[in-house]
Amino acid sequence: MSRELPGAPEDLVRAELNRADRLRRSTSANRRLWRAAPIVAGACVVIAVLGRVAGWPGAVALAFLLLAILSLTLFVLVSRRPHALSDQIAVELDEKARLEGELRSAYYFAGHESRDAWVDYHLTRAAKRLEGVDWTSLYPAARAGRAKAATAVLALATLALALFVPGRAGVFASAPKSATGSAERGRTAADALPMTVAEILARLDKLLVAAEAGKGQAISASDVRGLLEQLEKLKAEQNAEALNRKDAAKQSKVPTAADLKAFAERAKKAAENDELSPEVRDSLADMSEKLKEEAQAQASGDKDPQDASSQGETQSTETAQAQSGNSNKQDGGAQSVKEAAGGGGVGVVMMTGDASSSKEAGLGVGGAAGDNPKNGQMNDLGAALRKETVEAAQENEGEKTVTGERRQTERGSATATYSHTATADAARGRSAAPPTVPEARRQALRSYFIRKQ
Amino acid sequence: VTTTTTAVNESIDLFRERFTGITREVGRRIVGHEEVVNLTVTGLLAGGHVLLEGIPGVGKTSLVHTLADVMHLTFSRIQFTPDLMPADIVGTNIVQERSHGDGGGAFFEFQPGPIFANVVLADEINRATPKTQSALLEAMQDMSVSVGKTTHKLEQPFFVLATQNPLEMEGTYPLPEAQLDRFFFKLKVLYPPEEAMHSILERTTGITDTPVQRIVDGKDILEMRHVARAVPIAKPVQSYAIRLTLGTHPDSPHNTPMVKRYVRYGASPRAAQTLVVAAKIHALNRGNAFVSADDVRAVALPALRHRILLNFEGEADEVSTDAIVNELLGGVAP
Repeated sequence: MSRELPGAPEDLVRAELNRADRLRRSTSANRRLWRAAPIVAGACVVIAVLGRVAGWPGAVALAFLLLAILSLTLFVLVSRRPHALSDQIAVELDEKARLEGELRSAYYFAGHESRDAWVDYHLTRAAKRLEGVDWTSLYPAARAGRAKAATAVLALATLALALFVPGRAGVFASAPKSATGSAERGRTAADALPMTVAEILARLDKLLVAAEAGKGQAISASDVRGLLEQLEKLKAEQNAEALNRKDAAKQSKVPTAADLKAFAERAKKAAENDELSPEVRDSLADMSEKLKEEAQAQASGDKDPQDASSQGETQSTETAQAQSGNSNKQDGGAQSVKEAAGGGGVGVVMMTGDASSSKEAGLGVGGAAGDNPKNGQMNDLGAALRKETVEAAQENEGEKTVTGERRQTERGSATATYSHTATADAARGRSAAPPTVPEARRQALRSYFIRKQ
Repeated sequence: VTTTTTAVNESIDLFRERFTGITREVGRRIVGHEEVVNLTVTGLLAGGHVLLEGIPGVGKTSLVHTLADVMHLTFSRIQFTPDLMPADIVGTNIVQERSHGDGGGAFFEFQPGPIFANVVLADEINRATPKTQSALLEAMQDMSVSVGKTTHKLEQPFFVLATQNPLEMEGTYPLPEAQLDRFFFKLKVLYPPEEAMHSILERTTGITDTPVQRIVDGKDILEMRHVARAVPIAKPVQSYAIRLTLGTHPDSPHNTPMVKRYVRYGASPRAAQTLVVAAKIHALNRGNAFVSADDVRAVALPALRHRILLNFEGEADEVSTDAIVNELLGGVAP
């Protein structure tokens, strides 16, 4: 007690308390910071990886990293900002320094004017005890070496992923292109649409030219197999509309049976080329077979040239109808059945083309009105019948398992609905039994529900 | 400031020296009850009265005797019985004859009862009727007795140590809660441990009695009371004492589940006064010029246990008020 203090005891108490509180907050903030930083950095890495997979721009991950750094910095600044001391803080510091309540009491009296000898003595003694407290040892700086290292590594990983690792889209875009199949591998969403036969053959032509020119190494089996799959898909879908639409756009490039046969021969020859890899040769052989089948199918379809020509006309008419906004034309172009005129058979079917749409519809079996003498004749009926047969085949439920499953599902739900309704009715409507029918009225009631023959 | 702080420092040292001296001398005769001795002296220095509860033969009466010897105070003992009258305690007016030289005739003269002493031992206080108990308790509260139209002040320091036996309750008149509240502390004198029993036998079965030294007198006691009340207490610590007191009430926001369930009435404001004054003495005894929450906690049990009135459920479940106070000490944040 004999040692003199450098200033007023209350000022010393307050100064020591503030210093201790700064250290306390700093330590606490650092501890929480380095507990959260690796987690946040890890989240940034995850976002960067997701961004690479999903094809997000690298700036997204960088923005997240920047946001995380800013958030943590803000947290540290807010945690360390000076704020007023409270009794609770004084209690915490007191307990930490094991001052047995002296600091808490001194903090209270240091902030009050009313003083006496006892308070002075108390403050003086508290100030001297506080001078001897080593707050830095009580609140040591957070080391957190592993947390710091982990945070740094994860942050660098985020930067590397964002700046140097290309995304999935980037990987496909920047993949090395082969001599022949670059377009096939780097197909965009538009290319993912089913190709037409002409397109398939054009690409096949490129491959075969390369094979014939002795550049077999540039051909990959996947290129050939891709074309083969396209061809099979086209056939399986039997998407006549898509085929017609694309073929209509490229009217001059519709392949004939002879073309297909020629391609089949070329593919077969190429398949016998020893320079090519076995996989490519197998694929080319398969392609040759497939094209041969297509050629045969087309040859059998072209046996009736009139049907073929009429089919082409019908298709062109439908295309024109689809493109036309004129309602009159649409009305005129539609198939319609009218009552039989005087000179006809059983009925009059009027098939009109684009050219005759604005005129009186021509007669079918029974007549040949209109400018086009072929309209309404047998070949038109044949084409229409064939089309309807194809459509009917597509609607055949017996051949489609999916349709069957759907129908079963519908039946199941119908049953469930019925049982639910029955339960509700039983619970509410049939709380009382229906009145019995008098014996005298039974016959009349029975005859009421039985239809008289 | 240096002068005043030095004086304060000397006051604290003197207080501690005296306090330690009293307990040391009492400890020469009373063995194994250091806590009871400390708290009894605390009650004396606080200006309160202490109720000692314990089975017969554990040294309650010896403790009071020894205290009176050590403190050089007048001592009287009142054995409470059912036929004890208030006049037997406070005194009565008796007729006296004047001498012929003074003119002769008779006059009333007040004959002080045994309560006119510095230290009064009210042995087995619960055996007297409530009327007699009230006479003593009035004197304890007002520090004076009224006989007829005359009020007689009791000499200071006035300190009552009452004892009661918790076992033999038949034919007794338990002190009502209002009168229990007038006791500063209620101390439980437990059976001494085996080691202490050896010391007791060695000191009490020999030829000579263990002598004790007089440490303080009445004036010193009053001085010590003054010093004890000068100790400053910070408001947050005072708030803790208040919260503890309020926490004994079943409708208080500071209470605990046991208080809610078992307590009918909680402690009075006098309990908070007791907590603060006793905590100041406890702090001084530790050499501190301030009161901490630990000081309050140290004296909470003897200060609150007899001020909590249990409800029917608490009585039926034989809940101890000590358990309630201990739960309160754990539940109320300092």
